Amino acid sequence: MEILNNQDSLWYFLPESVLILTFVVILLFDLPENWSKNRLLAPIVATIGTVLFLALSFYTQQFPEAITFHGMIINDAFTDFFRLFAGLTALITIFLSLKSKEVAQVRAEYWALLVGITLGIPMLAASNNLLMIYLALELISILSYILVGYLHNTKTSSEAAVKYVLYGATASGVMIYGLSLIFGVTGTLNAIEIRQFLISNPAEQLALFIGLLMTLAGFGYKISMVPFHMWAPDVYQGAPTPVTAFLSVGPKAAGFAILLRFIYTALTQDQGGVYVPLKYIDISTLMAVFALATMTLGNFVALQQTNIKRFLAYSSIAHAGYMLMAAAALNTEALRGVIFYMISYLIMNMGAFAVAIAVINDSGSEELSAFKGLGNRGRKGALAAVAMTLFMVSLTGLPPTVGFVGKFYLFSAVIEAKIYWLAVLGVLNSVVSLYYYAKIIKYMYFEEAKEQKPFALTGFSFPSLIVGLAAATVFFGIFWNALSYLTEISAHLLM
Amino acid sequence: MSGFDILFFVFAGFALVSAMGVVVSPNPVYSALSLVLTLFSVAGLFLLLQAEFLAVVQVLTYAGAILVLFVFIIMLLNLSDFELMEVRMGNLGKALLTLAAVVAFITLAFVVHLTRITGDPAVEGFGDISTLGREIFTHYVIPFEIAGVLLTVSLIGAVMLAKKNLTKE
Amino acid sequence: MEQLAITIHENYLWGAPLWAVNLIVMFGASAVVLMLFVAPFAGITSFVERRIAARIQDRIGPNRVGPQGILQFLADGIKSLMKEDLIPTDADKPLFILAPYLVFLGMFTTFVAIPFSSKLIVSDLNVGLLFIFATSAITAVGLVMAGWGSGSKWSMLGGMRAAAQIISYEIPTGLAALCVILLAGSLSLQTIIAGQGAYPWQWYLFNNPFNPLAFFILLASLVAEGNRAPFDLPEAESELVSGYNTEYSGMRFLFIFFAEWANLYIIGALVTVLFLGGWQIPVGVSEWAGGVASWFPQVLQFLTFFLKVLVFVFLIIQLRWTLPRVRMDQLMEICWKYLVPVAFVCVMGVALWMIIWPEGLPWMTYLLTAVAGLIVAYYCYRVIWQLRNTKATLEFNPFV
Repeated sequence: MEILNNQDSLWYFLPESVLILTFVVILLFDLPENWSKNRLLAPIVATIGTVLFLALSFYTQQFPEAITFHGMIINDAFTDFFRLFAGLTALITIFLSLKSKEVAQVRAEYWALLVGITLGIPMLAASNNLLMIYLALELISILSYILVGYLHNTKTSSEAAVKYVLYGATASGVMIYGLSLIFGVTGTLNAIEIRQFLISNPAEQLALFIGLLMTLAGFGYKISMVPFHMWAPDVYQGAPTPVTAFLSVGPKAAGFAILLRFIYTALTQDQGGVYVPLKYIDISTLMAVFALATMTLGNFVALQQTNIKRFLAYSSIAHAGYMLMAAAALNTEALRGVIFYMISYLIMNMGAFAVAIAVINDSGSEELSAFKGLGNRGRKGALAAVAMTLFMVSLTGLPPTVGFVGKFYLFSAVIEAKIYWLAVLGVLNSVVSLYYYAKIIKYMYFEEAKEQKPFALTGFSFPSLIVGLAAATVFFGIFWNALSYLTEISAHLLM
Repeated sequence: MSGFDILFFVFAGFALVSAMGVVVSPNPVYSALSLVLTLFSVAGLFLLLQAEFLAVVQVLTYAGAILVLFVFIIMLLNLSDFELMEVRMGNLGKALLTLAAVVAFITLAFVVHLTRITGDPAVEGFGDISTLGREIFTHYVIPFEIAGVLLTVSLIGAVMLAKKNLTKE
Repeated sequence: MEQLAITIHENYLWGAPLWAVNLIVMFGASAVVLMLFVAPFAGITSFVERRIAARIQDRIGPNRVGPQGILQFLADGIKSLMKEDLIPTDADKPLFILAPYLVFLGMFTTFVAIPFSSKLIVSDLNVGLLFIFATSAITAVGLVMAGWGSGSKWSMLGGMRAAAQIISYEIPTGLAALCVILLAGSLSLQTIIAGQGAYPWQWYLFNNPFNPLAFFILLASLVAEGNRAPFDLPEAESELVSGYNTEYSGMRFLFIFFAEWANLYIIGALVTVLFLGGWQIPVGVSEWAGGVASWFPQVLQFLTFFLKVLVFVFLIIQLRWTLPRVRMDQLMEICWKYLVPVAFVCVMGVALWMIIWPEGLPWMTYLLTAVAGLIVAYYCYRVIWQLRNTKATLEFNPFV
């Protein structure tokens, strides 16, 4: 384990530097008047920056794993994975934003802010220091508030932003209090040193436990863990749909990344692939309870939703519950499982949102009833319906889709950890989710549309994105070896 | 009891009372001003711990921040409609919430009291601006820079949200 | 100061604990500074300003009370004391009453860190410069409070303007001061002065080509922060009656105005400390008089410092009565579009300069000094030329 100084660390920071540069360049390019008239310039710059970021991530991925910037940031396979993940999510979101009518009139700042959040995701996933964790979390949060309230001439968007800010401010206030308690007890901000302190000081400290709970509030807020999920439905509904898609995947994954890294690094001890919780903090049971509560609530409330965005919000809460099982299982399989699950979630959730954007573009309505009879509305309608069916099947977790493989990995990790009750209840939850995912499929094929005009899904690129995501859902559901290999090398935490 | 103790209790008392004022005051202007007092009392506590730089920066930043808050309160709230801002809640609800807050406060105070604070005593020259600067630009350079990015980004976002007619050419 | 307290503790007040003595000494010192220096200074400045204004506007000005009207400020003070204490019905009473004290407090706490000579300073804080900025920020809170608490639209608009202006201009102020902090490597005002010499070419002002620029920025933004013309938007009498102090009368009004004139001294002192060598006198003089610590060099230092400050006090007064007021949008434009970017350039420039020429560049310093000398000489020539052309008699009696 090597702790690098600032100069040596700069090479590791190359991809993120590119994102910062992209951010500045987008804003600068918006200054000349005749340049700012060109609506495509900023998204193109953002795309180039993100692609460059991805390329450089592949380059830095070859470097030996190291702890950089005097222990602030950890550059390991896990970090590399989240760079990849953030870049891909950002690219898809940029594409969706270009296609969505809701954000057709955006200015250059929108793209700059998207790039900003993309910067925050790998920063948060790589943080090894409580201070860094807080800053990266705030970077993501504040940018999310702004993007959610971007359409500030619409009432729902403003309302969502205000709710988000209020919840977020409270959560980060509670979290920073918790962090300060942890710092007070352990005397260090470094997660690795916190573990070393816990190992060498076995005495029980109530303050540490309370500090930990308060910190979990901050993380839990980011990943919409019950009971910190209240903001999610309103915010998802009010935000512009591409932003909702991004929020439900990118920042959420970052929240999971830091939750897992913090728990695995600071609170457990690695004993050959099994991470044993330290001393008196039974983090495993705690997280199992949270996971169960989250997935159950998400699934049961999703049953009665009529708005597509609220529907997907509760569905994403339920999926957060599944992913939280990795924090309960505490072994390498769980890490692999959650990484696989994140990739599958990226594909299927982005796909579902892409179809949703197409439907909203077509009907101007966000109600679930807009999906009625989609399968019978011309060739484009049939295509969208088939794709949506695949995404729904995948979100339920049925073979032969990628969602099934992800769930399989996660549940086997839970069984490996011998938390059988959680596994059983998790599977039961999936059965519940089948009901409401199937409802959409029923709407698309067995109900009459209000007006039988052909589905408007013009152009070549947007349908091909949907088709591509649907194909990926099936392809990786059958041939998951490539992804499995990726998760195998990524599931490594440097600690 | 030394002078240090007396000053500590004065500052701490002011901080607590005025923090209470922030919450219970029905008038948002008074809340903002109580917040000034709270933060300045905390600056006094910093001063007692010989963190002069922190104390002064606390006053400097928060005086400006509170001014902005003040201006926002005046501009955004219809000052004649204070009663509208009161939370519509029965006495029982208020009592329960107050009780919960008191319990939480006592628990936290109890917990902090029980805690054995570990960690090293402050380094020589703590609170000195050159030590601080050196520390920021070596060990804490990346949080420092990210904080810079965060502030820039928030600034742009704030301007964007405040700007009218965003969609108009 | 502490030694004084210890001496008193050991020799005179056997029973009292040391901290109490310390406290008494501190309060005593503050009271002495306040009563014996700041109050007369602010008073006399108010009189001088009125006379200068009168000269510029071809009037006579106050000349009845005392010789040449110099006791006018005392008369005004007594009059204000005896006035009825008015509080408007619409006012927010506690805020209305509290606000002048905050303004006063913010202004006078600053004097704790301002040196008068190498020995004469209440407390040489190691964060002195920031302390001064911080305490002036308290003034801003007071002003806004006064504006809002008065319950009048003119006051409120004035208060809002004051808030916007002071917050905006804090940035160029800080950045310009940073240029000197970089060179001195300290925030303590005494250390900053100790880094300079008695002669102009030893001042930080002429250290490098960026510093004169920073000096100008600092002066301009300090004037703006002090709500002085041409940046006195918060109390623009042509539009806002009198801004945040519209509703005040009697002693409360005096408090606010008092602080404003005391602020003139602070502006001058800050500029002098940062750029003009502070109280520095030639080393030869203090050696000849028996070391820096003896009384004669101390007095000389005090006079040097005071004289430099007075130059700026007069300059700011002259600015007020000769320049037209800017508009609100112009005010913001000046700050954000010109002063702030240029100040950033200055900071970077000074930092680069220190890396490239750590020892300084003597010919550049002499060149800058010479240019500055020429400018000052031309200014004097123009003043004399003007006076001669208008056939005014130039007498060295400012009270004519």
